Amino acid sequence: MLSVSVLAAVIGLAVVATVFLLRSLPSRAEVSPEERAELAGTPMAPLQKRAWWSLLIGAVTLGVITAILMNKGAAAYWEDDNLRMTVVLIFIAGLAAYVSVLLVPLLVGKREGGLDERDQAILSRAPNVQSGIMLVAAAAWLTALPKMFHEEGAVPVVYLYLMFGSIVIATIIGQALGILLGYWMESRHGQS
Amino acid sequence: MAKAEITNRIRRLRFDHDEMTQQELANRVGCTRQTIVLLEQGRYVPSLALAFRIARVFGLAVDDVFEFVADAATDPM
Repeated sequence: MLSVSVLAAVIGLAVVATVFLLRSLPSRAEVSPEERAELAGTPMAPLQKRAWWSLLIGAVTLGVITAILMNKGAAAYWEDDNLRMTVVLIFIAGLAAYVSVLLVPLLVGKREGGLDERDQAILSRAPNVQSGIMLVAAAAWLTALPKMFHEEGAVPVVYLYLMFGSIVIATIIGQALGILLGYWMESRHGQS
Repeated sequence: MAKAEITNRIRRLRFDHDEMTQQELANRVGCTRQTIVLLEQGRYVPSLALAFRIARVFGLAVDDVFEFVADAATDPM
């Protein structure tokens, strides 16, 4: 019961924050259809393109690992060395792809001026979304596990690894979503 | 309280300078074309450094490119 309350509180806070954010938007002047068309005809900023790739990488990594574990079961992950190696390799491949597609270009771009001031402002606001998604992912685990293992009174160790992996992937997805949301909000409402 | 605005003449100045493209201006001042589009639409207020770089491309002072439009309630003048 307590775990459900925690999840409800976290989701409730996220909803309240989102409502406040959305209510603040109409006070800004809407972009006219002509202005929106002009912006739509402009190529995506390099950071925006990389965020889309990063989102795809995060979603595919999470989807493939989830599909494997749903099919074989979490216990098999602990008992079957081959399965565990496969999942770990997919996880590492996802991380490597994220590092090469978004993280390294970001660090190089910041140092060598590849990001303009607007990109940097959007990037600096992305952790607001990223931390929210991480919090919801952690809350979902901490709600689900006590419900699943209430009778046993103990959670199998394997779930700690899965929890860690999923939160890392949620971080990648959250950062990408934060960046894309920043560009989307600016395209609709101008500078935020 | 009404918000003060910063307007600019970037679009006009581009056309007056051999119809410079947005991409060309973006390359010269070191920003993305998206940023130039938003600047021209008055949807983005640049940093002082970017404002100076843009003015320098057109060979003008910042005041000749950007204008500060204060509302009566907050105008210190």
